[in-house]
Amino acid sequence: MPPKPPLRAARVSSLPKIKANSTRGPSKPARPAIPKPSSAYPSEPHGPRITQRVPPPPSRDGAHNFRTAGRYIGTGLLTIALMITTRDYFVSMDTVVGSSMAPTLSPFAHERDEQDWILIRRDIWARQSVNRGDVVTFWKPHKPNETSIKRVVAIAGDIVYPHRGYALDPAIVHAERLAGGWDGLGQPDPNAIGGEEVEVGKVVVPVGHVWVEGDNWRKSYDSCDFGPVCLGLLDGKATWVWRDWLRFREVGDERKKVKGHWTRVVPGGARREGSGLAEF
Amino acid sequence: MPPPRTPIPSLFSRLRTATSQPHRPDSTTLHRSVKHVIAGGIFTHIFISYIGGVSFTHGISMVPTIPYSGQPAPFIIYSNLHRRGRNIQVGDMVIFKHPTRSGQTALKRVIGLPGDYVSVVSGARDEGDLGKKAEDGDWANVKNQAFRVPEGHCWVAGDNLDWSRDSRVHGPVPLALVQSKAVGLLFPWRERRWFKNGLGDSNGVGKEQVIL
Repeated sequence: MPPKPPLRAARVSSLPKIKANSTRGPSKPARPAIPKPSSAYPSEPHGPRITQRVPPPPSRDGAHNFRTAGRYIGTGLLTIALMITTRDYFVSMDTVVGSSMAPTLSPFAHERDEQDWILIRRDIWARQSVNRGDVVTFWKPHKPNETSIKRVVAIAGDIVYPHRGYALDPAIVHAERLAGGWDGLGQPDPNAIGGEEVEVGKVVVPVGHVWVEGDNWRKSYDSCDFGPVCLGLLDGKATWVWRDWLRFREVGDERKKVKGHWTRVVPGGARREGSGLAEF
Repeated sequence: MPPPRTPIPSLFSRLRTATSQPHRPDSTTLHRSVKHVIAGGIFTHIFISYIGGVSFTHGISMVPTIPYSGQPAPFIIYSNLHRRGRNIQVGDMVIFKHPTRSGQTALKRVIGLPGDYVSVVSGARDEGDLGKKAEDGDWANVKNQAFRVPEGHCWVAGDNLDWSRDSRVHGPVPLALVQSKAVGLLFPWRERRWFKNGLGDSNGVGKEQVIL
């Protein structure tokens, strides 16, 4: 025989009343009660699943407990890691020091010490589309911990006639160099029809390399000095310039403003204009 | 009065519950798991590219040091604290981006650092070298050349000089291309060890044949 239900509910007036002006002060906010699992359903022997999270009680001492401090440290670390990953894979900003790219970037670096900010893209689309005319940043071949910014003048397979540099020095060109040298000068060929001498002033950019030059031909240390740069050294592609607050624009080509000596480039047949296959 | 019967939780009822009412995470749980996956990927990238990791290698160019017998490929431990040629000494094995093949990496031993003079022996054996033997001291049509390693570059060579494409083929490698330094061999497990610095690393097999 089941127990009988109580006849009446307990009276409300029987509960102890709290006075308005109590001497104990304001009461703390009550923690919301966790609903007790109560189910005799055979499919849910442990009661219904609780999906709603119970909010933790408000902590009294805020950031002074270890849990909150650890959360702040974790968020800071994650932010730094996110910034590093963004710099590695997407975009970063840097200044252009020196006037080697003068009409285009940092034109008043020498006179007024004004430096341009550039936006460097490092995403996969920028990496795959390095072509003639692009301004790239790269690690210097002769200084492993420094980067430089120059313009890609020729890509692999192109014939370059530099206006200065090592290729115009007959002592270097006719000297005995390493077989398969990657300075683009070529080797004397005894079977050649025109003659076995290496042509002075002609460079064929090797595979996997690019030829970079600065826009300021008077003050630039570029491929005319250290030879072709391999694609693995390329760091990013400079796409936008920020000179003043209101001057944020794409990197153009302002070499025509200056009269000077320019390197002559004969595009090779390996790649056509606009179909960049170079990847670094 | 007997106590009321409690239902026995059976396996079938649990199965039925699992199939009929799948557990769907609410938006908070989903957001949190996505955030954890992204954070894990970011920290993995930073660890692999700035601290070090484990990678497999291919090829026979380092054969006495790193054994290679096809599959499975040997695994090495590398340290990225030596990237861009920091604290690299002659005799270390470095992993670098290939100078001519973009997107590929290579593992070779550093023979010369900037300013060093390297005696360069011409590359592979020709058809005319087939009859020659190493015991005679005349194993290939070698051409000796003295070469000074330029500034910021290093000269690399494989330990298996007959079957190695190294600086004899692609010239000196810029130190900025060096990504990491090979620290130890992890697999094959029986030959696991830490690599020692130095050129006497081969197990006595090709020790006399290493030409410097």
